[in-house]
Amino acid sequence: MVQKPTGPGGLPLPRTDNSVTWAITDENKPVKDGGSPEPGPLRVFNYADYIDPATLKKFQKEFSTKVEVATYNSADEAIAKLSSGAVDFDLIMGLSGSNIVDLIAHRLLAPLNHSYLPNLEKNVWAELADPFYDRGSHYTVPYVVWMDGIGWRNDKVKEDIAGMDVPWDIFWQAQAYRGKVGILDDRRDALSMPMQRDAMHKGVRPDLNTEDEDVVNKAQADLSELSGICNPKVAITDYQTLPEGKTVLHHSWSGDVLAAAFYYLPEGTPPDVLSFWGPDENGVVQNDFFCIGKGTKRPVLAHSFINFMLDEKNAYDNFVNFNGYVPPQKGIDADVLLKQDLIPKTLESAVVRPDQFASNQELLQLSVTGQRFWDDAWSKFKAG
Amino acid sequence: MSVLRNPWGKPRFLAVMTGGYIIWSVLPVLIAIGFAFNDGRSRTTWQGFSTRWFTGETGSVLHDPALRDALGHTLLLAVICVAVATPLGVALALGLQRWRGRGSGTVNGLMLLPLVTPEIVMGVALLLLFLQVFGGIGLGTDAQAIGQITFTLSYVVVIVRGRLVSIGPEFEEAAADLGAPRRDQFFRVLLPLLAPAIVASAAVAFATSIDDFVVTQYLSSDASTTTVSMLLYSSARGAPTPALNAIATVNLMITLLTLAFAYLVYRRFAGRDEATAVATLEV
Amino acid sequence: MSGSRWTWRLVALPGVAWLSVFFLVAFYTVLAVAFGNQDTLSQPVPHWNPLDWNVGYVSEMLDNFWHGGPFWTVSLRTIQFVALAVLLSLLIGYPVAYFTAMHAGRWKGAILLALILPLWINYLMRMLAWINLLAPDGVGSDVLHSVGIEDLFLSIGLLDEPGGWLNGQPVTVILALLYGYIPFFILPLFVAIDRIDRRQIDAARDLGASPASAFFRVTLPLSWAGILAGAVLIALPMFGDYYTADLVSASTQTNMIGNQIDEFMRQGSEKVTGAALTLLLSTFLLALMFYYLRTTRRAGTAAEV
Repeated sequence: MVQKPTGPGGLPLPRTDNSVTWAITDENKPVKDGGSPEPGPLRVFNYADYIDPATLKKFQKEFSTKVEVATYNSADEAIAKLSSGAVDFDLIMGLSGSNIVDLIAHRLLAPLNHSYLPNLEKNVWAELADPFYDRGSHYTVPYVVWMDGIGWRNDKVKEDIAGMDVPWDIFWQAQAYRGKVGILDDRRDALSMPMQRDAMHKGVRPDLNTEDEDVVNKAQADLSELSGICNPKVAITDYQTLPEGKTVLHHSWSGDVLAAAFYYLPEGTPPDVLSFWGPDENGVVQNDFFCIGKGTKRPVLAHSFINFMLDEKNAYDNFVNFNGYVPPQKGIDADVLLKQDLIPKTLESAVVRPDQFASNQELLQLSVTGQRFWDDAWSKFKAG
Repeated sequence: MSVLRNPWGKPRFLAVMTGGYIIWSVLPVLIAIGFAFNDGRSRTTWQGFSTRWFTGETGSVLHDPALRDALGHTLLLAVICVAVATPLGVALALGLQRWRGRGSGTVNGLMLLPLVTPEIVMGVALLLLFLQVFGGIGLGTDAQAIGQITFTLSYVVVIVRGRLVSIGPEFEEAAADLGAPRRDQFFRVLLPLLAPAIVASAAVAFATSIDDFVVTQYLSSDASTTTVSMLLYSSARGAPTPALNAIATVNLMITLLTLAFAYLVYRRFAGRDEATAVATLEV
Repeated sequence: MSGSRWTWRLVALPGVAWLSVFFLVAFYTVLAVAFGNQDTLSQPVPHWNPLDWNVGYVSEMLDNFWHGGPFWTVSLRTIQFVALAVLLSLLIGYPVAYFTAMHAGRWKGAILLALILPLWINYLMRMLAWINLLAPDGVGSDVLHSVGIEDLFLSIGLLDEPGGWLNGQPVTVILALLYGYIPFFILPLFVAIDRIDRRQIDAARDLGASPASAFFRVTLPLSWAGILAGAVLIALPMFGDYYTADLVSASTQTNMIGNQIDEFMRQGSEKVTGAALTLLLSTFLLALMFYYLRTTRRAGTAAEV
């Protein structure tokens, strides 16, 4: 029998062919049914600029409470802070399958009580209502979905990126845009990009959760090559720098480019100067989730917040007025969205559809040894 | 003689250079302050005068909770820092000044170390301390205050000791010769003489706390522990509004008013030369 | 008020205790973590007893360092950036400090105030000011373009393209460091020059020294201590800087050792490596401090003789 690699704390690593049900233990039980929301403030931990202030305002009004949002700039930073045990939040949002084992192993989460979350079953895509990384949604509920791709200013970048055989190659030919190129400041996303490029050239399906040191090192070497070619910034502020023109070509999350079009464009710049391309298959497609902090004193309020965000109207408003990340809602159909003229033609592929989850891959938590390879490669890349 | 003192001939070149330096060092900040009053969203294109980013209905320092809370937390930390670091530092300065013999050199060295330690080293050390040793304190306001006190303490000691040196032991000795009891010597002679240095060191502690970034960031926890400096750091790279300039301006005004007040107090009681000495030496 | 010999130690005690716990113990924690281990959740497990120290992480880092690994690259770059910024501080700062101390006349007070002012302006606000100025549509970019500095920098390859100051240029980081720290260099230098006894310079001139040779043989040596003090005062914090490079560049080509430490400590869960790197940096800076103290002490003794 082959021993499967284990994750932090010796826990199993969820994969699409190895779904995991996280146990609910006696010492950490969900909040009882039928409670009413506790008084605030609800302390939320979230990516910076990752929820519409207007949506927050609406929730605060509806529940006569206060929400305090603390922000982080990368999933690694969030995990580092949470796992140090020094901070404590009612609600954590924005983390994903690449962090789930960490969250469980560090005992950071309180289990959910679905009786407070009627909108989960009612509204969320079936694909994600009972996901392989958390069967039964014991600890997590999906927030939004996205894919990794390329965001660019089509008024500044002349190449037909979407028409290239391997669009990722554009970064290795970006001499003309030197200094105005960006790479996502996230070790998993960034290192998986050259892996996808390599596989696309060879016409094979890459394993973006690889624990093969040579593959990871090759990706790092390829990525480091970019420094000489286009001196990229390592940042996740593409949703601000692309619309402002500070960058013109960016390794992007689809939602960031839509957010740029919805919210961040300076006056007088039309949204269709922004373009997005993401691979139809063998790329990264991902969802992140809401979860409730283990130490919360406001479990019912936290559940109410999740349920509020799963409401179709609220999810839609948050998406189109600010966030740009597609909520996996049955009622928000990609085709309908595209017909509404809300999203320019150049950004159509930034709208993620349920079927893309089958043909692409999620970046998932690695074993401790495997993670070490990625960490070392990342620090080498960051050293320049 | 004045010709002899001047090896470069007429110092016109030096004067121009100094003037140029001053413009270079101050003008960018003045421009940034100017854009705090911009009527539009841009921080690079002037669109008319307005105070909307200070007091406007939305997104202003006064009405945006994130900005307002950051300013409040910055001031809270500064007040705690002054309240603890000043008495602690004054006592340490007095003790060190009179403590002769074994151990005083070591303590003196220990006191000076935080002044030369890069902030990131202190940030890392304190972060690990609060995670590994004082888990009970954890991160957040308490840890931030302790971190700031640890390095502002040294500023207080240096300023107060400077004043102690310039006062000299004569006053107390005279009081003792006149038969004053020791407690009176301290409270009626020494303390009033030290007062300007205490005010000055409190002001320096206040200003240092307000402008601190690294230690405060390393020891922060949730949203309620965000300070103005942290806000400037996290927003500057993206596309902030002039409200960021506005909050930096408010921050600056508070710092400068505090220091100006302390300088005037010091000058009034300790004389102009000494006040200038404190202002130039205590960087 | 001599008191018992214990009275004053008692007065000093709270302060000493504070510094012992929050400075010495804190620093010892860095040692214990760097020479410790990590658990299966990648959290540090400090080894408090030096006899139990695990040298694995530190030696792995040193190995990486000696064999030209990423830590070497970053350290070398950091030293270059700091050295250049200090050198530029001297070139710009010396004339300014010299003029203020020697020739400012009745303007001295006002100039001094202008020199002190930047010390009390939030460092990040000063960086923010430049980020706005150097944006492609910013006033600063226009000025640099119209006075020809942009062309100059473009022609010697320090700048990649017109207006590209914030495109991850090492020169921008060095200039930002210069701008950020030079006020801290000028003040101790001003104090040193201001203290020079003018009669010594006059005497040199009376003995027939030319103005230039009086400067190089009298003024400059007498201000040497101020130069060193200023250089050390700005070099130490620059070695630990991470925010400047991050704010004005964010390219991997300008990351300094502080960025690397920040990455390990705050951005990722590799605190043991971060502690080891902090230890390396501290050791280097301590050595620098000792060298500085030895030089100044020797200079002090020489001056007395």
